[in-house]
Amino acid sequence: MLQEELRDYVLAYLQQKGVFWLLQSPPESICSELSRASNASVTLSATIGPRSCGSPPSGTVYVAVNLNVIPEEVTVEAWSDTLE
Amino acid sequence: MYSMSDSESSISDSAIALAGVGGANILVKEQNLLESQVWSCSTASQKITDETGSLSDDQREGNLTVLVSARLGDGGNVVDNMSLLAPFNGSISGDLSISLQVIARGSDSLAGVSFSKHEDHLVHLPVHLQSAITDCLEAVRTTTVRVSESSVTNCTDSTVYPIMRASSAALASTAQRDGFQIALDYSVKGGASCTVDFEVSLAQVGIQGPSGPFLIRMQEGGSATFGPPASEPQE
Repeated sequence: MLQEELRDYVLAYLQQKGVFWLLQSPPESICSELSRASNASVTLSATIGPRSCGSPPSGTVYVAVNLNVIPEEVTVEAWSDTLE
Repeated sequence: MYSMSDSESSISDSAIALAGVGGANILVKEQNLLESQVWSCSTASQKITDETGSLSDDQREGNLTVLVSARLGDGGNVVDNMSLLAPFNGSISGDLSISLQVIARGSDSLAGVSFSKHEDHLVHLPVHLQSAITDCLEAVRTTTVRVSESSVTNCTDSTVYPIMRASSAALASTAQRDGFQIALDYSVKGGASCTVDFEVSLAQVGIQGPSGPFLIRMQEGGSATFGPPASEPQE
């Protein structure tokens, strides 16, 4: 999967969910939700302030969409090890 | 038919995301503004209009800049496609409507692409501002009339209390119908002419805002006099 496709995937997910649940949910709920929204080819993750749901393994295609929505900065991340 | 290049498409996608984040920040700032103080019912509309008009947010990513500025909208039921801001996207009749002006500018020098876009979007907060102002000012008016037209002659708290209690009960009924909490405080100044100074406090509580539940509070004072003025001759 290309980086652009991965970015489109994250943006489409955010369009569907909106951004405010990220502000209003505790980090563990965000991590659980993103884990549920992941699939065999794409893993979704996030960094909420100092807390990270997980890190991408090396060798994967990776994108990060930074949402600096006040007061908490959230970065929604996605990675894929599916080769083109 | 014109189709966007990959580079243009990528900038456009980024602009949409940044506009969404900018709009989200405007909504959070608007919530902060609304809950920041106790508003005067008579000036809340103008002050909130003015202060909303000064809200803006600036988002940057690489060579892309997205400026989002706000002003109060006209209201009404309007659908808006800015789904990143759900459930606050679009406008709902009776809610506080905010119009967002989005200006995005960017370029990709490697691909020789420049990008410029201006869009307007509508968002809302479930704050019933105009209804709250109307109820508050009407509460001041009816309380003034009730006190002024009362047949009480003694200027004591025990004679004024039943009037204010009845007024308070009537106001609470109206306010509850509209989803507000209301309180009526008063003091009595005696003499041949009796003055009752009072204050109406109104709140909309439990508003589900972008950064969690909040409330908006407003107050308005009033004064009413009954009984003959001391200087007037008695018939």
